[in-house]
Amino acid sequence: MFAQLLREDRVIIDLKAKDKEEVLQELLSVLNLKPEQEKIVLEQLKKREAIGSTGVGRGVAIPHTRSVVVDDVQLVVGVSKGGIDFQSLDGKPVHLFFLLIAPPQDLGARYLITLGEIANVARKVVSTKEYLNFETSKELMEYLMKIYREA
Amino acid sequence: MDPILEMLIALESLDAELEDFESEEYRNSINITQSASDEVFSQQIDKLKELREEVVRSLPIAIYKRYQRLREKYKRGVAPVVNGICANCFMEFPSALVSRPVKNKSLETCPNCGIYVYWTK
Repeated sequence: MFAQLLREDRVIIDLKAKDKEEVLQELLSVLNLKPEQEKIVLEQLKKREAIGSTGVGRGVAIPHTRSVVVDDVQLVVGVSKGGIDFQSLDGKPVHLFFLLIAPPQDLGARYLITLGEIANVARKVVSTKEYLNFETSKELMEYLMKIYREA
Repeated sequence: MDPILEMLIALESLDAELEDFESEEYRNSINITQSASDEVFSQQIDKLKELREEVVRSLPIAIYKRYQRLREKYKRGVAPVVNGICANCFMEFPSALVSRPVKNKSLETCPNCGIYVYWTK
């Protein structure tokens, strides 16, 4: 699933956002949702963050939610070279973001499968932080695909 | 967008997230550093339930009851209409409804299955 969802145009190599809300907006922006859809998903992501940060620690966050306004599972990857305070479990800034959005009902539990695959990739990349070194979205995408295939 | 529809969409999302939290697969995926305890998850579920209650309180009771009945029957209360087709029962909506330029401005239901609908396109 991860491999099917990972697309070059949905990989942001150098996030400009400075805080939590900005980064959620920046990640969402590449999905080209209608403004009312983007607003609904953003609110839902913020609600999810309010119950507990999806900053899972070691520089990684996996903001995620479900909403009927998207008709399929959507993945966006973003890297912040400077890091963003995401109120992570370990209190450290987040550099690597995996935004995952899915409809409430998705056939074949693709959302949970993808979430598991993201977690596997994240576990592999946190130690080296090599993901910070890439200059283009394509390079980062190919790196993540390589890690995914090895995971 | 109709404010009630917006609240129903939020409720549907919260209900789906509550179901996710019950899944071990979900908990493992968002706990990659193993630093979140069962207690943390339990607190998060409680907060999610509080958020849900807030949304429920802001809905007219008759609409909430209908939503609950739909969820019992179909495991969802709101379904998207994609390309003119209800994603719950797959009935094609009449072309007069599909071709309207303005949608989601009032609360609508599928004429076939009765589910609340959100027009995606």
